[in-house]
Amino acid sequence: MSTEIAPLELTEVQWQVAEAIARKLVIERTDVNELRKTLSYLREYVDRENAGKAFFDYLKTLVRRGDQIGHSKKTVEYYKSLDSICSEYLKDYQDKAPQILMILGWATRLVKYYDKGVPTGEIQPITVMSEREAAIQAVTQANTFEVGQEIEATVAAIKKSKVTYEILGTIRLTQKEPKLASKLTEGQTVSVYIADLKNDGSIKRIKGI
Amino acid sequence: MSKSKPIKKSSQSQKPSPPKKRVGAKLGASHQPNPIPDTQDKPYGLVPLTTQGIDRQIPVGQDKFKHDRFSGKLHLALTVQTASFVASGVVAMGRDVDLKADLIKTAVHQKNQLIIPGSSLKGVVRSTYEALTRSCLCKTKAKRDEIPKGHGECKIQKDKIEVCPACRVFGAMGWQGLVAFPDAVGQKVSTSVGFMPSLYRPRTENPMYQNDGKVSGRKFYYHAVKAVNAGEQRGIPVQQAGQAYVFKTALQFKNLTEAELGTLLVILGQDSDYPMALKVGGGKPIGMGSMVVTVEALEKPGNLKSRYTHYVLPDSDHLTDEPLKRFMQTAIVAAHQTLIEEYQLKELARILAWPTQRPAPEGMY
Repeated sequence: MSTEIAPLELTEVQWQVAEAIARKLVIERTDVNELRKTLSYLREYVDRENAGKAFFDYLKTLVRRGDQIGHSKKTVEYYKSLDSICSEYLKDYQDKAPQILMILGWATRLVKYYDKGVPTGEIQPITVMSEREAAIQAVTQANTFEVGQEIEATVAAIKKSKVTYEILGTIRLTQKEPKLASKLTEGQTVSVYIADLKNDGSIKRIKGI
Repeated sequence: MSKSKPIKKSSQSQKPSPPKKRVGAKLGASHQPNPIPDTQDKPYGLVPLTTQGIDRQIPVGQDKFKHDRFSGKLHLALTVQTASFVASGVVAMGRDVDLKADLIKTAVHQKNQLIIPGSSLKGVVRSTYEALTRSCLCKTKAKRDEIPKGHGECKIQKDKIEVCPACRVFGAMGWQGLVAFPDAVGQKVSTSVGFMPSLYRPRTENPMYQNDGKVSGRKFYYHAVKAVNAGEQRGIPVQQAGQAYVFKTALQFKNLTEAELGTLLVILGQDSDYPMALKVGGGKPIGMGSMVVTVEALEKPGNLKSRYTHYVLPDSDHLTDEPLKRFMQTAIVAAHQTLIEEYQLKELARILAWPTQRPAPEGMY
């Protein structure tokens, strides 16, 4: 009998998140054992519904009532640090508890490296982009955009006079369209033109035609 | 019951009278027992190491069933006497385990049925077995130079396999033992919240542990009438098994001698001359974890060959009530005659005596 193991690989962005968390933990001198305890909790309950959301509730509860289970005054400080770090880097994964588990698992391993392998003063926090930002960046790099260029877009959402367009299946931009909004329906494919670009060449603004 | 932690004794402790020599016992260099360390009002007592020398013999192993030995199953029920808690290592929110508490240290459980892992139970029984017999001092954190000469861990060598009584039954590094402990499963889906105060770490630097720089005994915690409950404000909430909660398990054994089986029964509190209870899980110093064992049945195939051709044992091989009592009595007598160190047993029975009138320490201990 063979046992298949599901692929457990992190994406490039998730690696960056794990690294950013590890760096921050070392910079803030947070006890990695407390992170391990929260991991034990997540591992125990990862399969249930809304496990990711429950994990963030759990971190908040640790901050609020951590003095009940802590052995020193420092423990609650560690919980505060964990809560703020996870809120900063893992909110995008709130609905994907197994991915939080993987990212934090690697973060605990990386903490060892940054804690013992690099002098603390030399570690700098890094900024990481979200999965969505990474996808947009990939699309931008694969295409060249110009102001005035016409492209196809899908109407993703309409809220009063605001229309959200989705182009190339990834980039979503919301634009005030007082004249067009009432004529469009969600899911409709329309033509738009690029009204403005950012400095890096990505699209800043589009307008319906 | 505590794992055997190495204890070195106080230089000011009283010297007890020496034990009676047993006919046919192998004698070591010294026949004087170690003095009992004075633990004063501590919640634990110390069982001195044997001075008769370690009784190393060739173990029987499991390659085939021996007809002159006992194999089978002991069906056990463990009834909780004082609140018990075997930690899972996970701190959860109270709502995760259907209990009212913001945060709670959870016990090992499956669908809210509490469990005592077989490994925990095996540790409890082994440490007691070691203390009662001429066994080595191996499950210890003591440094090598603190182990008294001759008490070091049994080593399995290619050309010479000789191990102590505990290693013969429970196994040694590189040698499988003769008993298997499956998990003990709670009998109902019912747990409660208890509050455990922060405990103090062992002060191994205390002079009471010293006996010329050597470990002199094994440490066991006393039972108490009732566990300390520090209250919500002062305690750590724990998911506990309350009084009268019952765990059940079936201890499997192969190729045990009558005396080895008898010693296990003594440890399980079946010797009416030495009524004892087990001490399992966390919070031992504050009176938690006392459990009384009932042997509900013994499966012992009379004909090992026919055991493999029949799924169900004949009634004569399934002992309960009076036949079970008679069998246990005979095995216990054999244990006293050939395996148990009576002096160590008296000390252990004094510490683990059940029932008890002893209160648990409320403050510093």
